[in-house]
Amino acid sequence: MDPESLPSRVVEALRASEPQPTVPPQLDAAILASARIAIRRRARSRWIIRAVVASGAAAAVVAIGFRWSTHPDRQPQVAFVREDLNRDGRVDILDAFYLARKLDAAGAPDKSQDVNGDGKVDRSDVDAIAAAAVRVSTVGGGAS
Amino acid sequence: MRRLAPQCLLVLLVPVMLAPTRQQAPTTSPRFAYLDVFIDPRGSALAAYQFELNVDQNAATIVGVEGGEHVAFNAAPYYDPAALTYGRIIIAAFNTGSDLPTAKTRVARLHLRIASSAPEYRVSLETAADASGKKLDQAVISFDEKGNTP
Amino acid sequence: MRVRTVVASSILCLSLLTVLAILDGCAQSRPKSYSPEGRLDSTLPGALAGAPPAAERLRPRGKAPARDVDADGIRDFDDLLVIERTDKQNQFSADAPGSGVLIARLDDKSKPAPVPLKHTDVRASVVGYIATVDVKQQYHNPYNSKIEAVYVFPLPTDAAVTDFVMTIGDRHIRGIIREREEAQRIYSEAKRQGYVASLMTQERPNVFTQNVANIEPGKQIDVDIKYFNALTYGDGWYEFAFPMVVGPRFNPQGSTDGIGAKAHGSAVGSTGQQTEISYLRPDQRSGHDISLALDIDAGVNIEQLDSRNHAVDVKTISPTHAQVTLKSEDSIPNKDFVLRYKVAGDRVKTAMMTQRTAKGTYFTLMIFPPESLKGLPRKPLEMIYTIDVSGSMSGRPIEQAKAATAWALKHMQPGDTFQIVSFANSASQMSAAALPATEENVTRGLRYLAQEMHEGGGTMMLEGIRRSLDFPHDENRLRFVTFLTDGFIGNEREILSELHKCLGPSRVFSFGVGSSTNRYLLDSMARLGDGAAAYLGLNDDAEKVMAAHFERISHPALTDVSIDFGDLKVGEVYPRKLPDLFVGRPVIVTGLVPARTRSGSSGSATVRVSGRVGGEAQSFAIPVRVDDAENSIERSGIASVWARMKIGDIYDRATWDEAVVHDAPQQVKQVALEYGLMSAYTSFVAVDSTQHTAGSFGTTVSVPVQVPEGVKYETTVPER
Repeated sequence: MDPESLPSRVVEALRASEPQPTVPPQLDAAILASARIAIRRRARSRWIIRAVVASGAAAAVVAIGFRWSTHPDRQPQVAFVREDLNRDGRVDILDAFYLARKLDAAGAPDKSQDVNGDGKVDRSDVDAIAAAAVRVSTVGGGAS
Repeated sequence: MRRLAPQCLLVLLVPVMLAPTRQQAPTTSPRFAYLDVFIDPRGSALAAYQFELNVDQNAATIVGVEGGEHVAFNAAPYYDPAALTYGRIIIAAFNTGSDLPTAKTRVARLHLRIASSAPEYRVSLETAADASGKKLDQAVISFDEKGNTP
Repeated sequence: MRVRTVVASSILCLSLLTVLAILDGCAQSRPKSYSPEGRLDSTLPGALAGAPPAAERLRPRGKAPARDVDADGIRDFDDLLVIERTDKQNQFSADAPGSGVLIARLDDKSKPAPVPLKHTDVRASVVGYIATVDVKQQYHNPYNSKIEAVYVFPLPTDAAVTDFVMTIGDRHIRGIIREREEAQRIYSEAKRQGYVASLMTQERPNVFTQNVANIEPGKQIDVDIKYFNALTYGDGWYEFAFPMVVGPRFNPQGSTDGIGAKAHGSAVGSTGQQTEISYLRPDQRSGHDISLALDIDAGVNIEQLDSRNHAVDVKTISPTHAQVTLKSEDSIPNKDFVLRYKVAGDRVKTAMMTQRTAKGTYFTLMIFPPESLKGLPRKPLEMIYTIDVSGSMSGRPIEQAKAATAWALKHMQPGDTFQIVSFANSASQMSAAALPATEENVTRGLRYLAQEMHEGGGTMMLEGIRRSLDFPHDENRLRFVTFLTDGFIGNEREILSELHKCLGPSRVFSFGVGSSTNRYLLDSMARLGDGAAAYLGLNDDAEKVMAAHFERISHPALTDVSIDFGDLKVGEVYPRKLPDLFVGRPVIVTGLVPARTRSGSSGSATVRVSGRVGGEAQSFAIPVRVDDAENSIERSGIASVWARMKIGDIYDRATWDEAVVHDAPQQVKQVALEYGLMSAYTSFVAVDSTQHTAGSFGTTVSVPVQVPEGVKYETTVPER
């Protein structure tokens, strides 16, 4: 509150109260000026804080919105065909090679690699992928 | 001499008239040749490759597909037999072993029956990779036709 | 003046004569050509010097040469020069150690050596009811000059041959599939130019020829063939069959496109047939042996295994997985390898097998007849038993056929009638008409079987078909005609065409009797005749096999069968005409669900099979899921099996449908090339074009084979 705009009745009440030690007018003015500066500073800080908070909120909204819009569930589906084991968007010899290396590593078989669906992940799946890779009738020389 | 002129003319003409018709030189038999396809992995170990070959099927016919010179690619590579009827073929192979070529190597040999004198080949490398499956973008493909005279 | 004129004229005449002589000399300087009789005038390099002339063209009698000689005097492929010679002095006697080993000599300098096919190795694996089989033939040259090896061999009738690799040393050259004429041209040119080359052609759906050219002395060339086929299932057993030898065929007089049988060493072309097979005498053996390993991964418990003709070792990997290996002491390739096995439960039996490709999903489905058929009685039957009594059936085969027929006669039902027909050079029958199955008539029939049939001679099966089918039908009875034969004839198409013509309301059942029967003929007869085929090996219990057949025909079949695939948008399904469903005999159908037409995301459907039983409509449902890995078995090779069945369907229709006959070659070619399959119109060829072999293309040596076990050489192979 701007001290210069104190209600008049307050000023009168202050004046009517017991004599106060007087404050020299210059000191009074200086104190008032300092108070005004402090108050302005506090107001500025409040605005800064509000601005920061508002910016942060806006950024959060944008971030959430971006994340939501770019979530895989909302993207047009990339149809990785069954044989595209390395998920590079095409079926080629590298997919057969990928599976062959997995088999050589003798790790636990991944059911998704059972390309020919015979319940086993083995060399026949590798051959099935290689056959698909070199099939000329397939568009793009291997990509489905 | 003037009296002999008709005889001379006769001598010259008769052989021409009586000479058997010269046969056309026999048409050239188709010849057999082979196309070696090389890949240079430029220092990396080549573990897998796939290339496409296009050739005018009126000019050349593929009559066999053979593997490469390095033990890693010695077996006959993968290809689609049905593709051969369209003059376009995709050939691919891989090896999961550790003995792999790192320099220019013949990866496949195509045996050909050549009908015309100079068939045109178009060979393009579709992919090549090292032992870890990492693509070798620097790999270069080349080819060379060789043959024997019939 | 006069003198000058005379001298000048003389000089001119002499000049003229000289010029003419020179020109004539140029015309004479081309290489020697063949004489009209076809005998080779020039000598072959080294090897046959002094040899008695045994060279003749392999050309069907009555056909003129197709082309003129080319520049070097050597004709093209269809005038294949085949030369054989055996030196009788060097044949071992029957009592000597190692007796029976055939040797062949090319010249007096070469050492005795076996024939060019050293060994055949067969590796098969079965998943579900689809077999993948690799056949490796090892050719070698034991002589001192180049040779071409020619080998005529069998494969299963429905084999979809998809791969062909020629191996030279450590080099593997994969062959290509081409139209037959083009493949032959490529092979011929490569052979002529001295390149190592191999060519595989189809003579019948179950008979093939392998040519391997320019095998240098001491060298070995391997040819690997790969095929897929579906196992048969009947009476509770799956059956894997691998034929090993083509039996000696009978060809009617005047035919030239049959398969001729000749004694090894006799003149090439002596049979007059386009394809010839040399047979070894009983005291001869070629040294060619066979090894076989079969891996069965049934997916369900294997309850029983039974090898019909061979001694085998069985290794049980798990209750669902077994490995069967041919014993080395039973390695002579002179009888079919037949392995039957029983599995537990119905999962495999009813499973749909699929293969997903860019074109769509190919599937095979085994359809079993409804259980309800077993409870229904059949109508009275008119049973015709038609027995092949030709020379090839002489001995154990005819004994088996008679034993089976005798059992059938004793088990006929009251109300049935029967007739016995036999055929060899001609056909004869027991009685003027079918006889009621009374005790007296059955006794008469048994006596006829035992004593009155005239055995021996050729195999005029046409006569047997006409006699069995082409007479008035008893409307009150179903006519079932059962043929008991080894099928050793070379005119299959003629037989099938006649059968179709005479069939009428009859049904045909075929019994293949012997160790190496012509399954192409027998299966086709049953298919065209709306019946079923069965096989009676020399070691089988004839009564048991006939009993199973009786069980089958004693219940009515589901006729006029149709399949509704429901939501599955199925395209082409084969066989196009669905056979009737008999008790114990399922039917395998194969089809394609095109990629763009698959409905829904699950690919599930209820397949409904409908038909008629005794005139009444019946149907039953089979739930299937095309994409369900739990309930379907995905298998590479299904697409090839589908394509092979499509080709088989075209062949079948071409035997009786004039509209198809003209287009059949083109249709078959189209399918075969698209799917990379061998067929009558497409062949595999491979050429090693890296190097010429020295010298001319060498001597052609046919690989001789044994007659099938149980078949008498004396009654089947003419000595010419």
